[in-house]
Amino acid sequence: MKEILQFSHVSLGYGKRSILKDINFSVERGQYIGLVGPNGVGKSTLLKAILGMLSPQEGEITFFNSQGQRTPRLAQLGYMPQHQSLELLFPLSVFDVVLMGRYAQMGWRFWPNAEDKEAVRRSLERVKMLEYAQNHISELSGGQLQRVLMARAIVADPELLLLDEPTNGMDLGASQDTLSIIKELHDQGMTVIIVTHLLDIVAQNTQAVGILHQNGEWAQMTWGEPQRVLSQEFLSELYGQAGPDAKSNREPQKS
Amino acid sequence: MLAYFDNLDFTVLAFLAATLVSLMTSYIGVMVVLRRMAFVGATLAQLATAGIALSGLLEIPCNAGAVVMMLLGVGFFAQQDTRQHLPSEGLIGAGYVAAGALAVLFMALAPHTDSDMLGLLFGNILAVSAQDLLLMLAALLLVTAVNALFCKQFLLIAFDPMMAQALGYKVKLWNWLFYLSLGLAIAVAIHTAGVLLVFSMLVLPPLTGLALSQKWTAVWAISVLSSLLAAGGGVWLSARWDLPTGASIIAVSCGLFGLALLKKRICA
Repeated sequence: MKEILQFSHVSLGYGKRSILKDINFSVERGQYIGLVGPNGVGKSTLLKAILGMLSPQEGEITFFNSQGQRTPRLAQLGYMPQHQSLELLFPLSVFDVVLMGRYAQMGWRFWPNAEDKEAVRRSLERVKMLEYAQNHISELSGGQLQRVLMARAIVADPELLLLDEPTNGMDLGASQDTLSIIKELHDQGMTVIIVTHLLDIVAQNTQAVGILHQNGEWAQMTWGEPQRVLSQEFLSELYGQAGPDAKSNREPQKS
Repeated sequence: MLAYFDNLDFTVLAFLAATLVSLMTSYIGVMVVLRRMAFVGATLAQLATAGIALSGLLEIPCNAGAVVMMLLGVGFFAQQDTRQHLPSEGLIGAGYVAAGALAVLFMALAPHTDSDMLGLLFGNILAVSAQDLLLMLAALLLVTAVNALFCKQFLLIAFDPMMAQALGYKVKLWNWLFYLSLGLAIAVAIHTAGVLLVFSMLVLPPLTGLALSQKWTAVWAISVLSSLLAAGGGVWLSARWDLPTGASIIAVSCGLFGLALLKKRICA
């Protein structure tokens, strides 16, 4: 399989302060990857680096296009944020929000054409939210809003799908629906990176896991197969008796 | 063209000026309100006022001073970092009072009377010249063109900046462009309309739109329409009952917003 993303000895932080040190991992096309860690350890920081919002203090972050060539950024990157970061006062319908994922394809056009509308319709259908297309976003539950954001993330058929706590705020049924949609997308060939603090989701679904953990002043990553790095013995060794839910006071924002 | 406007009655000029100010500020005001930047708008308006007072002190064209102070304000607010350790509301408040104090100090140092201070606060729409009108028209066309052309980008960076970044938009640059267009609208409108009218047109018509609709294009349309009604109604009231023009426009705009809230409550 070809690589799509590579972190080589990457350190990340803000100003002179480092949050993450010497991060090394690579993601191959078609893989389903989990990034886990306790609150405040650096998951948001890592996410921002993948999204291009944060430059590495050391090391190199590399993307590879479908021909295997290095590229400064992927043509299509799908991103699903946590819905708490959104301003629900905006006068936007579900359709309007999902359409945002097509803005790069729309160029200078403000009004969607038939192709855009069809892409939005298909995307909403995949996440089972088509009937809510004309609803205002403030009318949705947390779980429904998460699904709309997933529709927005996939509407442009991205090469890489980045999910930030996709089951946050959802009940068990909605969580299972969301995870099965993600699995379906992966089965269809999409590369998926899921950032979460829920180890069971990662253990049951992913092919490789990056665990962020404090090592002195900074956080580092241990990378490997879920069966190994999520075993009780390994986690105890990594986090001690406090376990992976022990909070870190390093990162300014929670993820 | 200048000659044509020069021949118009002063009330017609006032109505045209009120219309142009209302169109410009109500259009961009929708984004200002949704981005929770109302007091940034007020501070920029106050800075423009200080700029006009500075122009009076230095005896240079008033718009020059307004533009310079505006650029300083735009530069400050567009650079604001969410990781700073001071609350942004406090910083905006500090900017507002600093700009207000500077305006008073510049006025005190300049060879002007107290009545000019009132003119700065409330504007002097009845004294608008043909040249002012053409300048406002040019600014309206530019601000409307920028905000219409880049509507999607401004909407995305306001609603979800992280998503915008993920799609490859340079959020800081787009923020700068938005602030510059807002600053231009305020700098050009302030001399004629004054701080209170500019601020009220940035806020009240968009709120009226948001109270009456939850659809994006309808909110904009209602904002612009209600600002036109306020401009027309306010100028008429002012001429009919010999009332201050700026305050009359604001009062009509408040009335329209009140009606919108009432309608929202009844429908709920």
